[in-house]
Amino acid sequence: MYRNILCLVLGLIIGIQLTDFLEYFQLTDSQFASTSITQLEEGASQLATEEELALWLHNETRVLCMVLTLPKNHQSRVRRVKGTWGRRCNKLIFISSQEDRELGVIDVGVPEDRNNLYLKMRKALEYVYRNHGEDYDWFLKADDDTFVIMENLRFLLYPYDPEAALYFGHRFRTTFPQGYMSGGAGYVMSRDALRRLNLFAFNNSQFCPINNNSEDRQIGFCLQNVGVVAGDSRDEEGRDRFLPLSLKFMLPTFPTDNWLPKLTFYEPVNETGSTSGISFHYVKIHEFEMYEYLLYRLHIFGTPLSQRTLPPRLGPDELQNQLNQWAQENSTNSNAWLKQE
Amino acid sequence: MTAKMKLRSQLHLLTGFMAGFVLAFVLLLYVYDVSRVTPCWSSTSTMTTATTARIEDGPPPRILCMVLTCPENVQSLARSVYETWGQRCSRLIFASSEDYEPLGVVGVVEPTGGGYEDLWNKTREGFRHVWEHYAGDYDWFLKADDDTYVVMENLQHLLRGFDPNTPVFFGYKMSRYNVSYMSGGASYILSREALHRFATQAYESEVICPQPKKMGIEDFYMGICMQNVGVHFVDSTHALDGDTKPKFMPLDLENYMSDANYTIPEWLRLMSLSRVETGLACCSNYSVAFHYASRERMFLYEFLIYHLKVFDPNQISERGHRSRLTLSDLTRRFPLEDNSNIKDLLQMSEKPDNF
Repeated sequence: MYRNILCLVLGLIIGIQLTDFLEYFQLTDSQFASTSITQLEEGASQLATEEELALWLHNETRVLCMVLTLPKNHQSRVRRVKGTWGRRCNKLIFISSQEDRELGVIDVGVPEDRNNLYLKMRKALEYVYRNHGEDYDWFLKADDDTFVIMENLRFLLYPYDPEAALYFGHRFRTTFPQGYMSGGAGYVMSRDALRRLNLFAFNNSQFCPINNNSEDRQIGFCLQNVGVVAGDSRDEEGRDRFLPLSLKFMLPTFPTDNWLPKLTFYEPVNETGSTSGISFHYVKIHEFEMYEYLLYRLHIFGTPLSQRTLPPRLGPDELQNQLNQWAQENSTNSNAWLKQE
Repeated sequence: MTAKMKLRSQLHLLTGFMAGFVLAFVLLLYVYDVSRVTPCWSSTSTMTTATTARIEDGPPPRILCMVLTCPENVQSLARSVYETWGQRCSRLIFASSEDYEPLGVVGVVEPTGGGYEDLWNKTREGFRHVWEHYAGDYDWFLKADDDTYVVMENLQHLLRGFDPNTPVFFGYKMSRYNVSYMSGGASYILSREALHRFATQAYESEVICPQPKKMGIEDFYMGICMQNVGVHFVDSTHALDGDTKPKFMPLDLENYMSDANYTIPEWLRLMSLSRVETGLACCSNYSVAFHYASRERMFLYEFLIYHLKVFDPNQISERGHRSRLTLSDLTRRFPLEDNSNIKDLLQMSEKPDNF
């Protein structure tokens, strides 16, 4: 009797395992099939491919946007961000010193002062971590005079695991080795980077002291000290995607007499902006709608767009190698003001 | 007995196998269905897209671009046009008061002239020059200022719907002293037939077309000449089925994008035929021309429209097919203007200022 029951149980176990094994192969084939669709050579097919990909990518790479603002800008800049690029965030939060529920503005309790920007940013990051830290993959910081092309941002972020300690932006060099990301151009950190800041940096006065230094530099210092790696956001041709200046400075034949080449981490490329650009800074109030119109509304008839395939997701080993490479990278900019210590 | 025991054991084992398979299959099938959140890319939609993409129109309209400039602007604004949208014209000509071969600048008026006061003369002589040299080689003739930016692909799409052998005058239609005309700064387009009528009937007739003079109101005068030689005025606002927004913008895009009313000058509101909107509702998604473009603004347009790509579904290029309007269709949709007040300039009862 017991031997019979034993045989039955053994058979069940073996059967389940075998079916699971066969099912695994089936799933693998499905994944390969999906991949092959995205690799179709036919140009016309890729038209549908990119359209589907962009919609799918919106939910696959979820970005929470934190926009720093102040009360006097609620009815001007906040409305414009909300009506233009902010609509394409998965979640949009405005950080200010006065609440406005209708506009999605929260009060983090820090009085408006140039010297308080860093403290304000810390409060914002604490708020976001407490309320949304596990609901999104990436967390973008922008100013209310930044314009962000969210689709191109997702295009950049997709290959990377949000559980890696990583952040992107326009990289500046400074007195500590990793440098920092320009605040005005916007920077985006992974879920793990946000977690590390809140769990290990903010409560450690050595890793992340509270002071009056500039927000972006200090956040960069804190991130470095908890092992968050500064990623390279440039495109395949080495052109910057995050622009800390107004767009007009990136256009050809205009003077490059500005502070940027002396501060940037990588050797400046003497060309026009990236075709997959992500952000511009110093956006005037009327320029939000202008960019929205020229980038999203105005269509060009008949011109076939050069289609881009989504870059592949990095496996654990590849990702680790990339992170190690970035972590050990030194500045290539020979024009820098500051010498690296 | 031993044999029977073995057989029963094997039977139980086999039963166990089968039950295990069924159970696992049901469980995994359920899990698999739940996990299929990622959309599949349908080959059906792919085929549909492929079919749509293969529709081809005839050859694109050949558009000669005549851009009015002056010697002081040749190295700045004219060069910007040459380096940006001018490259996409079938042919680009600059009309000025002095030749400058490297950019294709032709002197069509006296060297002492060429400023804003000579705008009408430059336009007249420019069109005459173009007619004498190129009338047989092109379908459409665009007149723009050196501070206009033109999206040539959208213009070509617009013009596909019209026959260049019919008399057509294209642009942002306005009205002044109850006389229709097309905004000069927003640019306007003459069909081959319209150009022919201008050059052979209007150019030398002081009765139906204002003669050369200083401070002539160029676009208003051209409107008079076009009406008096029986050319149909096609307001670009209504030239594309299903789209009722302006496509030729007499102001800089910046003026339209501000939602403050003060950015739209009173003269534009007064002389426009329909309400001038601001914000994202201002302009057609298939706009053609923007005025008051500085050199910086032209490069900005070039970068944002042609260079910077958004990885976004709405950026799929449009390949709409447009059938051509016959002359009778043209007459029905865009009837000839009432030129009773201006058909004899010498006998006009009420002359506008500076006429």
